[in-house]
Amino acid sequence: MNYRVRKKLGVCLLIIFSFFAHGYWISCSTSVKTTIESVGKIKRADHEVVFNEFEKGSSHKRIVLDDNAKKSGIINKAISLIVNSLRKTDEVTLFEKNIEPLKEFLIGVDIVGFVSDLKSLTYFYYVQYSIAPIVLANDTERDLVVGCFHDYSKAENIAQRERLLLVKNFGNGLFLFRSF
Amino acid sequence: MIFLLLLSFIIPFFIGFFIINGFWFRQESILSGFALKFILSIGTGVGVSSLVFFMSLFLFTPSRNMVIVFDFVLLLLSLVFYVFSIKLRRRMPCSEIQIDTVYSNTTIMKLVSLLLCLVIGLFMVAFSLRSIIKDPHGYIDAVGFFNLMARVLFRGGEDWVNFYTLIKWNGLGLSKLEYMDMVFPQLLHHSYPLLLPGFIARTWYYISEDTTTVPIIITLMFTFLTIGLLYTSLSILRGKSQGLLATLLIVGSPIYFQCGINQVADVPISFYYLSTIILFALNDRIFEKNKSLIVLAGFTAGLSAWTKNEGLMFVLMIFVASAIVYIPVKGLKFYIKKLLPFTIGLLPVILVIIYFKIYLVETSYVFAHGSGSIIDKLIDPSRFLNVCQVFLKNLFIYNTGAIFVLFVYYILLGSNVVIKQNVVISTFLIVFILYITGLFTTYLISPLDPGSMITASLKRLVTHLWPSVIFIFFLIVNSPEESDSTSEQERLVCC
Repeated sequence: MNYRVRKKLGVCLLIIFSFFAHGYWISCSTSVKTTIESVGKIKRADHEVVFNEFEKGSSHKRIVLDDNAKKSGIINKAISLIVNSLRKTDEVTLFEKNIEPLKEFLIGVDIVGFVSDLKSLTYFYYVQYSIAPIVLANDTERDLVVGCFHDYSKAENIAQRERLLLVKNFGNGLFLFRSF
Repeated sequence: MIFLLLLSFIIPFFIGFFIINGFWFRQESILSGFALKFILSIGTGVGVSSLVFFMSLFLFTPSRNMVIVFDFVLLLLSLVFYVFSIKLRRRMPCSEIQIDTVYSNTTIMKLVSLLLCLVIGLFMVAFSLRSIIKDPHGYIDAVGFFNLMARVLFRGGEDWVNFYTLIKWNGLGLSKLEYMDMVFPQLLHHSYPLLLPGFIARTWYYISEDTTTVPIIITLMFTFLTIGLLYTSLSILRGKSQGLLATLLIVGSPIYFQCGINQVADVPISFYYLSTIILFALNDRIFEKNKSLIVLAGFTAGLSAWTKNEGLMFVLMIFVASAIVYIPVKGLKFYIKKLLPFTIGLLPVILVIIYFKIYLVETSYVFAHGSGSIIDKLIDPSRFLNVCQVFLKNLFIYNTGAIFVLFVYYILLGSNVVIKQNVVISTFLIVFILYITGLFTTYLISPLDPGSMITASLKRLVTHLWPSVIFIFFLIVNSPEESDSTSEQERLVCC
């Protein structure tokens, strides 16, 4: 093959690959997937409304007009969905706001324990990040223990099992305990 | 606040600028290769500031005034060094870099340039929006270590060291290493060095506030500086076309941008790896036989080790790869002579890292179960096969199979470089192979489940090398202009 052709092929390959790689990445992105799914849900819900109206015996012309109006409605809803998702405060910032009152109880403390109903360590890292430089230990053998519960109802049982006394319930699944 | 924030970035830049220009070879004008020196200056300045901030924490109670005074002292010292080096080199002849390609402004290259400008602009906006709105605190690794440690250094004041000692001496340490049941899951990142947290905390001291804006600016800066570094260095060494195509490839790597947004140290470490290789390549191309660029390369390699533990492996691999290249051909004496400037540059950073590793942190969790367990894992054939399978699969699908694109591109454009004769290329190709082998071995001996670890982390670890791989690849492969000249020669031969 001619060098000039090969050169052009090579450069085109790099250009196409860049677009392909980003396209593939976007298709795998969870946030994009969630947005597409939400838009899909809105679309399905609106189609159901149109279908119901059709069953009620409306004229064909009205259905077409309604459908166009619904389409523009879908676009508006999709845009507002994206804007709202951008406006939404991120998980860590929200967590930090919730944990703010707890910090007053930890003044002068070096190390606190941690208990949760979840096996995942995500909440552990969030609490550690929020209360730094205090050290968070993933056990209940400390004087003070921070409880972080996804299912609030489990808090009492777990506290009894771990022999912990409630100091304060801060709401949103956040508790402060004292060990016996 | 904005003035202090600006000042906190300007001072390290000038510190880096004086250090880089102090070590740089003598040129006709200070403006030759200015963009490259500018980018290297920022990276070096950030590293030096972080290192000195960490050392100052042991000497004084940290406060805004203390941090600013320390930075000004450092700025003054670097200025004195620069002035002295200028005076010393005044009688030396000017050197220029040997460039063996020309740039032809073809339509296709114009298209690539336009595309790149658009894409980089778009990414800058998208990156900033995503970082500021969606993930201001970064990925879980940033929350669990890099930004957490910055908070410890900033909020902890003079008691910051308690965080390390309490984890090191309290409880079960690393002996019980069931990830979810660990008393201190922080131990998984405990041995990480502090370049990024140190620089973030230092900047927070300047503005007296631990805002998420600072880590966002720093990661944004490193992400786009690495792209700039790749472009400017290849433009100098191999012509603008190679620079543009390499930039196109790195910009077309979504994983690279994702690592940047995550606010972890994967992109900063890739910056220091690339800087080290560029300095070696530049030293190979200048007429003047002075070793100051290799001293700088040693320093940037040291900074990579101060960024993440993998940096230590990179440094070690440079020594091993150079031994493989030099000792059989030129002997041990030549090898020592060649690597001495590198070691001199490396030494100040390595001494700080040694102190940090010995007195502050636990050994890495990888070695937690002792040598017996490591040997058992190394000689277990079924484990080896399992790890090998997952590792290779994840390696080949890295960045949507970019490695295959490089392979096809190489076949299309070919190469006039004899790898064996080029010391820098052969050394760093060996470094890459050894580095990947090192990563594989780490997974093999890891006490945690290697399969899930590889799936979760290999793409980030390969990103450390990705800009350097692209750099070496475009040093080797023919540029579009070279192919043209080869075809012209072929045509003449045919005639």
